[in-house]
Amino acid sequence: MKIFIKSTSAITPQETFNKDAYLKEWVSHEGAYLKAVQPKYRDILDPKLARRMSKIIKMGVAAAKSALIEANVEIPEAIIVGTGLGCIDDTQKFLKNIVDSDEGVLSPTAFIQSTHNTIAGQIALTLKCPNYNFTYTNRGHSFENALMDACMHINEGKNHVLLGASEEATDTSFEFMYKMGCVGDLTKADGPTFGEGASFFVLSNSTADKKPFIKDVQLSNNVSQEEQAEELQQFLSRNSLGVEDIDVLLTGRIDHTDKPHFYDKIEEAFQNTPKVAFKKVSGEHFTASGYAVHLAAMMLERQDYFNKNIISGNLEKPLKHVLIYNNYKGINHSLMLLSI
Amino acid sequence: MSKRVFVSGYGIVSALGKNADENLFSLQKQQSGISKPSHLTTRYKEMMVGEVKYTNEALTELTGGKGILSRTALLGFMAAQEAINHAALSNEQLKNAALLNGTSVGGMDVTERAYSDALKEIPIDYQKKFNGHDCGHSTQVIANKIGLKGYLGTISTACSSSANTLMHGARLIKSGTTDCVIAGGTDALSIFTLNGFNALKILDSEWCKPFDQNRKGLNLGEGAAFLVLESEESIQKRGGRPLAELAGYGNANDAYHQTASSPEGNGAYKAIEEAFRVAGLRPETIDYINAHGTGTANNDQSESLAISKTFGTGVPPYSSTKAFTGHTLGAAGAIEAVFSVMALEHQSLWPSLNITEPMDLIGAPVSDVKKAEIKHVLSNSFGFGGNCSSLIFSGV
Repeated sequence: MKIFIKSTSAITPQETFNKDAYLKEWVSHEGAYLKAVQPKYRDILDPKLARRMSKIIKMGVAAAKSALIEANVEIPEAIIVGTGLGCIDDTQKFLKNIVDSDEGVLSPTAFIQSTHNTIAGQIALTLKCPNYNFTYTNRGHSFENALMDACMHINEGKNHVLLGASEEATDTSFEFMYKMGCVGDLTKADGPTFGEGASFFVLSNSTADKKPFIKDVQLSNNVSQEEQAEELQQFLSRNSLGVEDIDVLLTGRIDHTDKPHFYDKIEEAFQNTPKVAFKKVSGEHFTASGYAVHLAAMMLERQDYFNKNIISGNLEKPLKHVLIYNNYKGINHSLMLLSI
Repeated sequence: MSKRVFVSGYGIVSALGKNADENLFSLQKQQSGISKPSHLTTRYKEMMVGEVKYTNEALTELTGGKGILSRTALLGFMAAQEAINHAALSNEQLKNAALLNGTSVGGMDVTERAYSDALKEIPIDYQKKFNGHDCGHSTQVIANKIGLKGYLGTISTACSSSANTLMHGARLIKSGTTDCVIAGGTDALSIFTLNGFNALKILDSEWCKPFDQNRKGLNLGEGAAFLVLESEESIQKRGGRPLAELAGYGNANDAYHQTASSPEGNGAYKAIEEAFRVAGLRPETIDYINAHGTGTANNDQSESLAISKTFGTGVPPYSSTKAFTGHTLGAAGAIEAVFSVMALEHQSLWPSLNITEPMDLIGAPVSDVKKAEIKHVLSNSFGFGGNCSSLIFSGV
């Protein structure tokens, strides 16, 4: 499989949206979780529309538009978005209104914008794009569901598919995730750090310039670490690659992760391979793997690792194959291979 | 893309009943399942809803779904189990089958109660109460209970969610990714959606009357339906029985407004057109349309115009079954897909209920259950975010 990434754009808790400054200066965070560096939206969104948009929509639409501009594509043939929690800020607002008013007279605005497909819908509305428009919300495979669908569209003959993921963190969602034991408080270093962001891609079946491409994706659920290690071997062999062919491993490992043994097992196979901890940039969230694909594409295209804070081991150039391994709570596992 | 995709089983739970037989019986008897709420705790005690007539405890007992907190997951598990039994899939086939679930609000039924407690500072177990909030949770629960190991997908495109799982399932089979998919959706009633639609002023507090001149809005409903989709080879190899073919599907975006449909039904028209293209059929071959027909002024007007543009003067018999079940949001597409397959199996047109003065754009909808020769059925599902989907089911 060769699904070309014609362009990509990401908003994360580090400077990634402005590609000239891509991960150059390390942004330090003081709060309990990582907040995305918000771009100057007025440069890319209609301020009238942006005012009504929640953070998840703004990040999604801005990253989507930026990727489309870079690829010089006006109307994609499909818009496919993954989000784990969706528009959690508006959901929480509307719920609070219901509770506070005891089901009284309510404004529908928050409800209208709480729907998971508001991101993809607003992108379509902004572009006036009448084409295929899907939203996946599948825990740790929300982005992966969207990616699989996007690849299928390219294989079916579509030329330009807009793929992306968007996730927002709010004080309330952090508080709940923290009390649920899903994430830690950055100031206490007592669990994986919560983050947010959006990553978008224009995928294509061909490209004039040398561009990174998605070569293979393998997803599994509810497997043991031995089974996952077996999946890895099968994955590499079906792509006629050995461990030594992987130039860098992008791992979803994050400090204080609750299922480190899965990462131990996979990383064990790549002892001499340099590793990049992409969640140092994105933080932990349902669609952090979307950022991993973005970073892999950036690394392959620029032949760079951008910042020493994210890498361990010595990276030898040229970079040809980048493997991503991520798992959500040891349940949803993803292997994604990008090459150039 | 030449592979054909067949429906080899289905399961359904709605206000009409807890299984396919009970749903069929109510359709044939023209008995609506819509009533005042008896399980949903809400201030709107007089608001008509299409409620599944069992408590969570009773549903747990019926399904054996011990430990499932969310009604959304319980209903989904119930329908998926029935679908698998109906198709007579073996454990071996189940292992590799994909599960695609469509839901609009997932575990909101549990979240909204727990969130209210949290705001009132009543101590709660956060992990237990909020773990099922996200849409993917119900998919995971259904897969675990059934013992599925294959691909899992969750789609949340509001009211077209489960129509879209069927479309995605068909494409997964055609692409050769898998040869068996359990696709459908589930949504439980919640005060979140009830208050949301109420705030939008598109609920009818009385029985809804889709395609009536004096329609006032929709009735919310709840339920779940799953269909087993299989490739021709898979059915043949295991000696399964095809019930219908999922011949066509299309999804398009209205790109007009976050919640309202364009007055001309542009997105709907494009979705229908795409479904015909995929099926390789012409509009005149359609014998029955199971319309989205929510009963809101906006939807029924816009959908009628899209139908009119597609079929011209030859609009086939059409109806909305939402006056039976209520609008079951994320589950609606799959529930109506089951009704479409039932129309093919029983050569019956299902009626629109509660019509006193039909809209005059495309003639009156079917008003009584009627026997008819039905080879191809078009089923529409439209949602917020301009999401428009159409499916075509053909007899076998």
